[in-house]
Amino acid sequence: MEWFTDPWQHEFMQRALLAGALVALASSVVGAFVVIKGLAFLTDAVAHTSLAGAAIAFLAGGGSIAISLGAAGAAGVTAVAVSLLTRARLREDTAIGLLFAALFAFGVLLISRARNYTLELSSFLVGNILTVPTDDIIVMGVLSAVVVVVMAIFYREMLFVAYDPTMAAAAGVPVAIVQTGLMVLVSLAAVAAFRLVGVVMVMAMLVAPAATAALVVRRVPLIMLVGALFGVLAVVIGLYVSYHADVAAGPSIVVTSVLFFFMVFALSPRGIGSSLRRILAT
Amino acid sequence: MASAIEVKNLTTGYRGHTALEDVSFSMPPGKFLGLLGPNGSGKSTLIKTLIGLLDPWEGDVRVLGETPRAVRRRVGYMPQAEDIDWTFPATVSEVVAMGLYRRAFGLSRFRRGSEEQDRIMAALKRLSVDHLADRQAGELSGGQQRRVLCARALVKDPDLFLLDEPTAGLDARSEEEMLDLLSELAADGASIVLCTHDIGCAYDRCDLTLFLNRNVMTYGPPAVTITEEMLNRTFEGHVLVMGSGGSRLALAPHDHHEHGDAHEDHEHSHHSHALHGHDEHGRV
Repeated sequence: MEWFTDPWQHEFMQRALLAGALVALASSVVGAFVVIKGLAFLTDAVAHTSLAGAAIAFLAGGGSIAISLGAAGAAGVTAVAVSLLTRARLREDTAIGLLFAALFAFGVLLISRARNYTLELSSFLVGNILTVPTDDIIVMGVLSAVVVVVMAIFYREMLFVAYDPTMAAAAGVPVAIVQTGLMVLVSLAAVAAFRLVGVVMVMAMLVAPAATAALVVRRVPLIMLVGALFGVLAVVIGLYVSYHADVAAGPSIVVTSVLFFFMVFALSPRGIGSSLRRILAT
Repeated sequence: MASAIEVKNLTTGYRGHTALEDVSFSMPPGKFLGLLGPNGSGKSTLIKTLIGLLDPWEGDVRVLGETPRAVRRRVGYMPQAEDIDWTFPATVSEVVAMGLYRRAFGLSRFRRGSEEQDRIMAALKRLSVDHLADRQAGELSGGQQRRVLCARALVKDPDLFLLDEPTAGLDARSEEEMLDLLSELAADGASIVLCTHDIGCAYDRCDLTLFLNRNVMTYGPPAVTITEEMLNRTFEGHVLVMGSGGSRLALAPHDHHEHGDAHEDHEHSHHSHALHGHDEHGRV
């Protein structure tokens, strides 16, 4: 029993759980659309390029809130730049790849100017969930609230545009604004996750829980809800693993989350189980 | 009463590519109009202009007496089934609910009355797919998916329907049922524009046929417009005329690169062939 209760005696574990739950909520709300519309690569690029903005704020001596704002700014620039380059008839994955590499490199380059370069870089790359400061928790709470509220208000438009942009435009939905709005929400969720698990693993937070949920339920609001539950569960189990096995917390959460996916995938009617049965039957 | 559609000297297209040039025609209300033409003839461009997705470069377009954007709530549109991402997780009633979309501000955004649900069910019933309301749209057969898209177009009781190939890929019975429904709607006073490759169906069902190939080749009642010469000119020789004597039923085994459903269409022409019972055919 102590094995279960002991970790939560520590304040840093309670804070980590709170931060993780906030990020899991925002991540799965946008993650549902990321998984359904195949936006994983764009999401990963947005997360990585947010490093450049975070680095500028950090080098300018800004605190947690400034770093998050910087990260959100750079992520937003990436989202808008991809959309502009694609409109100028560059293939979307080419545009994403170019911005991804350039801005990520620029971020690392900036951080290399810092005095304790390796330490700072590693906190940006793999997060700081166990030492997450109060300011960061507030930022995550605000970002998650914005993501959830905006999605709740504009859910019909988001669904309509994602499903059938042509008919949505014909019905008078401002399609370009809604599409950009979705990318802004993805950026905000990515920034929240970035402070928690670092730029490298943001994508796992946004993709894995929603992808797992999409195997189990088939309606977008349910994918969001079940995804959030899978996300929180992964945070809890990841923190146990981190505490008892004395390993880094961020990667433990991410590995747990992805393991969930493959476990459910193996068991689900659409997953590996049925593929194997089909192969054996022939 | 104003014309259902009034197009004057319309020229438009995409990204500098002209798809329609100096198109003019007027469609009286309550009619069933068949829009015919080969691929790339500008049929979809015309539909997109009528629903306000494309602006005229030159000329003027009036729908139900107003600009296309001003009347969007009175116009029902059914896209080609191939244009829809059927892997998207959405139930049949969610898809039909999109047809009721209206801009709303404040708390009215969240009001989803039982009236809305009733209208969705009524539309589904009209197309005999009400038992599928809670199913995933992507799991249905091609014919059922087309019925769902048609239900979405008629759920708000529009005065004008624009349908892009609604019967492509349907079996003979489903096609007849859908065309019967459209004829019924026209009899109730709605105006219908049906984009089709099936000249036989246009001949049987439509009050008016408009042959399009960048501009209006001919426009009028099918008995007058559907001639071998016109088919030849519009489809530039890619036409199979079937039947003989007075009833000129013809089919266009067009090359369908745009949507990659050549196979489906091929089947479609065969089934129309069977439907009208013509056994003689020859290349014109």
